Amino acid sequence: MLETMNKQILILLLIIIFGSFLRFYRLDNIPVQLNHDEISQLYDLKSIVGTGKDIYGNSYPLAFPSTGDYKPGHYIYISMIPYLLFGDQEVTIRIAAAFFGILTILGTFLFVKILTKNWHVALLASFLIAITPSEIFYSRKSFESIIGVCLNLFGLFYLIKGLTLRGLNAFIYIGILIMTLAMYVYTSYVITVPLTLLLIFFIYWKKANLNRNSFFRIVTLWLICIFPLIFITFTNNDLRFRASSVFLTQDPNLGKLIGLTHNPLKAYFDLVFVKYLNQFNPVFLFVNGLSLTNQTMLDSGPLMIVQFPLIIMSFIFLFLYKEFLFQGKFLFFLILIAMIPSSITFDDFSPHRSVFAFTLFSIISAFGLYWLIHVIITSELNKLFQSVLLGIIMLILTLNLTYFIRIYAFSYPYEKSQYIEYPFKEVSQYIWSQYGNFDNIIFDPKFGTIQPFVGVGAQYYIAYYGNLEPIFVQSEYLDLKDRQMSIGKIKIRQIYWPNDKNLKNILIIGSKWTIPINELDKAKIIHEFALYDGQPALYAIKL
Amino acid sequence: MKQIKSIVGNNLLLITILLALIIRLINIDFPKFSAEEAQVASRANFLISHGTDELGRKLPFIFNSSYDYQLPLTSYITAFGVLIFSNNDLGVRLPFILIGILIVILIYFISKILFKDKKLAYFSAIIAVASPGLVFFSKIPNEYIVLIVLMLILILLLLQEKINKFFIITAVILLLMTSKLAWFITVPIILLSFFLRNDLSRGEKINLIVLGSIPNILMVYIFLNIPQGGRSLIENNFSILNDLSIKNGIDRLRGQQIDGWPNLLDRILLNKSFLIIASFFHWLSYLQPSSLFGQIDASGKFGFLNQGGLSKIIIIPLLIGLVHLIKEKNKKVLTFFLFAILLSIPGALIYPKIEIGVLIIILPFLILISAFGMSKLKSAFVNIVIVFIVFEAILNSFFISSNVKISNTDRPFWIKQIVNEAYDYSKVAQVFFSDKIAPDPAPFIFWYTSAAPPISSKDNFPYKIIQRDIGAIKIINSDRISYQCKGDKINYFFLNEDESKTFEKNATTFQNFDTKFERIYADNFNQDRVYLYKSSICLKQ
Repeated sequence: MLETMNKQILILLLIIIFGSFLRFYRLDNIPVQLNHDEISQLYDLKSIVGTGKDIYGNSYPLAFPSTGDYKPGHYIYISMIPYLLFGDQEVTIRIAAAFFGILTILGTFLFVKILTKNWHVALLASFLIAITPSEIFYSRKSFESIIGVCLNLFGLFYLIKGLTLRGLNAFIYIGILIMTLAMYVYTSYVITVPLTLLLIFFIYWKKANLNRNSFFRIVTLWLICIFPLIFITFTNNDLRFRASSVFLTQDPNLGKLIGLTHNPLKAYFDLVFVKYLNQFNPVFLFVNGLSLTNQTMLDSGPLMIVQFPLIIMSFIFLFLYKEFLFQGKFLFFLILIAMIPSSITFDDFSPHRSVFAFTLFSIISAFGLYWLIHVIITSELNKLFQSVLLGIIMLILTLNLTYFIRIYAFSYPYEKSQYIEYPFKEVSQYIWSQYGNFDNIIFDPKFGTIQPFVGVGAQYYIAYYGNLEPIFVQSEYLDLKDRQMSIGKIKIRQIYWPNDKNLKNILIIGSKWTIPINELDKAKIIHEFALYDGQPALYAIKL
Repeated sequence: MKQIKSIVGNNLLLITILLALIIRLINIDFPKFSAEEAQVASRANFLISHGTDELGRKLPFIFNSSYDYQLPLTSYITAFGVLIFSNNDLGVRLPFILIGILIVILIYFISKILFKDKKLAYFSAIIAVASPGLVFFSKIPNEYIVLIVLMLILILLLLQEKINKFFIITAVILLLMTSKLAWFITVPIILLSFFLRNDLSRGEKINLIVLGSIPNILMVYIFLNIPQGGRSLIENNFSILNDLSIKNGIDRLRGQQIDGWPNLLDRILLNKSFLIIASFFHWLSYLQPSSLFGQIDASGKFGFLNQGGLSKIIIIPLLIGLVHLIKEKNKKVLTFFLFAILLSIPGALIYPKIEIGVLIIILPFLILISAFGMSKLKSAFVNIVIVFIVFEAILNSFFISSNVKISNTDRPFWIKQIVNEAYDYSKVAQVFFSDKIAPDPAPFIFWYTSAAPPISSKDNFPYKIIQRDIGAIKIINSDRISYQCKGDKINYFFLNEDESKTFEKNATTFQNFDTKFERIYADNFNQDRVYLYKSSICLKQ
């Protein structure tokens, strides 16, 4: 038994090391630049560590106004630890997510092991989590949902452990506490955690031999845990604004549907139902749900293509052999719950709100992989042929992972760099290099190739890459109306060329959408900023 | 109470059929016709009244449409309806409504033969009665509903104790004359039906395969020998072969310079075999839950608003049916599942387009699996399901205003008044009608007015012909014409908003006075859509 346990730990360790490599390798430049969320979090983090306030002067806010989206502050506060350990560098803001992404692998192993009592399935599940595209993708950006996934898995582990011990015990309390923490970390879990707790207690109540007294104690604990969250939500307008700004009511299709049917209740129900079912579209799940390229089918889904047949095999295996039938049903219902948040927001597809569902799909696919390997190993084929077949499985998994790496690490910046505000870093560094040469500098972040859009967070890029002290930014930064901001003599605003062309000793940075580049004297264009694929994005004009 | 129960129990099938009829007859003129359906409807009228199609060809075998050839059966069925019930919505739609009811009956009997369970057979029938996809397609002249009924007849014939070869070959030939989709699925239907019975000898099976294959091969051969036959197949049934998006995508991704990345890896990961993956997942998207239960078609052209092929609640019995299929290893249910899989495979070849018909033809098999799933549920829940789906079907059929509005572009009922006025003007003057007002306006003119078809046609096998001359009405493509002269007579121009601005500018120049529209016509959303001008300006092409 000790030998088996050692073997488990060794294999798990190897998987975690491999998963760590996939999450930490070149974390500083894959993705190629910090996006607007990351730069705003990083600079606000710097500001909080240095002054206890964000750039707007708010003391330890619960919701950071940031770029107008009122981000919950948890990720920033969690990132204080890597900030203090590793200092002020770009990669610091990504470390927390990568770390929790690695912990997710361990959490998966523990959860699946306690659920199935089968360490083979548990190891296979952790391995698949280590290499699943959505896990790697969301672990490599400063995204709080991955922390929620980790907390959910550990919470479920402790809960199931506690409930299988019969009677009320510390593990149940720990499980509830950890799962409730997830609700604080990301809004999606505010919806999924209560439903998950309901499900788990409904299933395990009799097995756990709990009575009414236990029920009241558990509910009381949970209410105590969520009371601060309820209090904050009702008293903090910013957090409520954030929730309402992404809710279904912002979807123009809803308004259109209500206008057509004159029945708001039916319109809500129909739209949510369709959105919910859309999350299960195989093209979205396995082919292009992560939207890393502009090439339709040549993209990456949250799950690998090979996981599709594995999931089908899992369902067949679970219902045919009944060994893990209960576990399969439990995971299935968890997936149904985990897909709810993305169906009640304004996006058609919001994979970042369904990250836990993808984790559960990966776990389910582990059963299919387990069955496949089991069939091969227990077959009457000779050892060599068995090895060849197992080798083919490994090869297919490796090819799928390699394909994802190819698309994510190399094609993603080429295809989508403008959507992570590339080249705002270069623009900011250029602005500071020219700061002393001009009376004023105007930067209009409206750019794009096929159609224009306004890049977000320009003020944060300028503040961070100018090494500005937060205290300076807090006093100097002005956020005016109509897309106008300023830091010192740098004005971030809309260019109105008929007027602006008459300004003197000014550096103007804008795009073809705001400056008539073709009509301009070429001598005035002193620098060109390109997207990652070389297409012109912005121009520096000297007036 | 017991007596009522007994009467109802004994006449459940009759009640089901009556319900199917009522649901399909409510608002008989909904859905409003699309251009393709108006074409089939008006063609049916011309076949009866003139003995020709809308192009003037005498009783042709292959018909024309704006996107493909059309096989004859659907048009002649519609003509039969016009002959019996006259040239109106009832006459044109009633044959398909009756076909839709026949589908319900066939599903009932197939279910009864296979499961030997009357209750399960009733479940199948009731789900079919209320299926939004089947209801919608029962109300319009289309090949898919004909395809389904013939497919089910063929399956029923193959399940009979005594195989009647004459009826089978008749069903096969009729199938092959309905839709090109049938050419892909006829032999698989015969093959799969062998799994539904154990008593056929090898010789009988071979005979049946031959009975299905030979007419199939002949039909394809004949089709390939007509002009544009090959082109029709490539463009509409094998469009994946013409698709450049995957190839261009591969070239683009490979062209991205990546230091240190082995070229060989790119060749392994990014090559034309990706087409197989793309078409596979494209095929899977036909079977995705949101199309089956959520929204079959967001444009409103091919389904009720926010309705899938099946009622929403049927997702539960379908999932339970699939689970029990695995648990019990039920061969019959597995065969239905394989039917649904195999019959939808032609959809993979039509990448990147989505052919809604592929989704519709697999509905009967999903219905059978769902009925199987329903038989595993407690009766209380079954009753809730039945009440829900029937209620939903009746609501869909009654409250259609939102459906009419949403299909503003593809089923433009607002065009009726416009084409009638255009036709009236054409009796006294030349009328120019823009092809940007609606996709292919000619069928609407034929359907909503008493315009007659041409006397004859030189082209025996017209392919994707858009009719542009209907009496004194000329359908114009404003991108290809200019208003650069002044004529003697007053002409009438029906134009859309963008065209109207160009027209006013040119007409003002040539007429030396401001030209303003005579009238504006609105669409379903009361948005200005069509502008009528009266002017002596002429056209140059």
